[in-house]
Amino acid sequence: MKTIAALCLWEERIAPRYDRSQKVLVVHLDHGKAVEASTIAVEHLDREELCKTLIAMKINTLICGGVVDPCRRTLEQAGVKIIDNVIGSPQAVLSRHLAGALSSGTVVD
Amino acid sequence: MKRLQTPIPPELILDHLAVGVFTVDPDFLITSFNAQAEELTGFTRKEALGRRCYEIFRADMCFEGHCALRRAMDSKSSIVRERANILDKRNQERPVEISAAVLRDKTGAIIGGVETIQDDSNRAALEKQVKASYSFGDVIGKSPAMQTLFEALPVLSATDSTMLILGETGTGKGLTARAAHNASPRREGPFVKVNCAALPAPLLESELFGYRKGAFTDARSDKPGMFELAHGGTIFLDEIGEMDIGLQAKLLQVLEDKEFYPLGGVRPVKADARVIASTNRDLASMVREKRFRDDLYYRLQVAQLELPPLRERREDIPLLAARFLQEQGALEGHTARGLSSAALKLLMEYGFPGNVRELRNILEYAAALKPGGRIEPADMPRYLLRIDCPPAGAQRAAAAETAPQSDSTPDPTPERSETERKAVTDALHQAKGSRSETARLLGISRTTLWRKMKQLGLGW
Repeated sequence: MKTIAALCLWEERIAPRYDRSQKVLVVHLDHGKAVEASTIAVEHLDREELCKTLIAMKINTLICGGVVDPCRRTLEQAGVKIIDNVIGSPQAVLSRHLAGALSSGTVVD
Repeated sequence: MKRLQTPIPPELILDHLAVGVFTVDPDFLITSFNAQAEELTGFTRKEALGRRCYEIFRADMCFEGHCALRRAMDSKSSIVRERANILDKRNQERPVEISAAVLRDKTGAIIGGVETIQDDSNRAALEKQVKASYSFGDVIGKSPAMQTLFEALPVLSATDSTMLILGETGTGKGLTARAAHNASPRREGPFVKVNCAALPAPLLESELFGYRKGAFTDARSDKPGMFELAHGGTIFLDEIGEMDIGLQAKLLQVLEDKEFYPLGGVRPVKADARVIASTNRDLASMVREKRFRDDLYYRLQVAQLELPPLRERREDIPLLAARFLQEQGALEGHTARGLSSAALKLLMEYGFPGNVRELRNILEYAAALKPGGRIEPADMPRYLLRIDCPPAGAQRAAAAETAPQSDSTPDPTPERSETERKAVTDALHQAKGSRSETARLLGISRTTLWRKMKQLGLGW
């Protein structure tokens, strides 16, 4: 099964706040394995525009720190699974996600 | 003095404080985190210790280059009582007040920083309340006249009574009607606006009440009217003073019976819409002159509001100007800009026959000329700089002129006509002859401009 995960980044860490993300690491997964990854700059987008962008990219999972309510609702209504309050480096967090062991509130360093 | 048997651990003292306290090492990793910090952030001490402070604290200032702890450490001084918004673990934004200071060891070397956080929700709520008292929906003002209006509006909005909004052109009747709808129990329903001056009587009748198939030659299918479309919501009848007297009778019947017959219809349709009407006409005079039905007038004015012209609430001009410039800046992505004192003085002395709409248009024009910068008088429309606009008397008369006029209205005085002719010709020149742009610059509708030009003998 092919899915897309988006990891919000701030200064090479998982962004503590979704609405302050500088970049988004977009990872295409096929049966749980990363097959393609790219980074997009999103610093210029406000939080609503970021929601629209992520929904347009048809992401399935969003991994980030805190997410304010209006954005959470918009994303969830679009079918995006949110794994929030995650702390750590994107590499360590992605590894945990690929292992199927990432949940909201996970801290990996 | 009696000595304590056991010294009180500092952690215990910190946990009993009513303020959040945490400390960091020089790498901004959290080294202590008291009970109140747990309460405010939603993170437990165990979760917070050893983490980067911005990953737990998640304040707006952390991501904007204004980190209070970093500033305190860089400047080796204290940061006192600054305001921030944190995002707690429950994903709720919370206003806080913070202070930060450096921590030194016995030799004076910096070993980290300490920050205190206090919940500031009450002050933020109070400020919001004060700010809200200067507005009702999108209608804003702090003048006594507007304050009286803001007191009445929530009460009147909560009822289902017919509402009549009076005021010169551009005073915000439409915005007030929309705000009243949004504050009413019908807010989830539709808000349908009908301009009674825009259509001739037969067309307006079919627009309001709809028609049934076969009602006339081209009626090939049923068409719902605005009253049906407004079911469960509000119908806003703008420029009700222009409504044909025959149609007024039908409207009165709807208000009385709460039902109506579409054109060609044999069964009545229930009318479940609150009616809000507005006009810039003097309806009481029209009633005396038998040009408006008295029974409809009395039915409409159950809840009556009068919006003051801008020249009678000049103290609102800076507030309105700031709001319009802020909105314009947000739309165009500029940083906040302002008015120079000379530009503000010019606005404060102008008569605003087009009222708030004209002020908005003036600022839109000026903002387009000066994106991002401070607006000077030279950035204002030229007619504003040239025209001699005494603040009250003559402008009131000029403003009255912008209302639709009947044949019985006396002609304006030669002086006023000249002033108006100059304003219109200057605006026409500035708009390079575009009627729509001229109307926009003057803060009046195209129809009013047409009427004005006809009256002044200027070719359309």
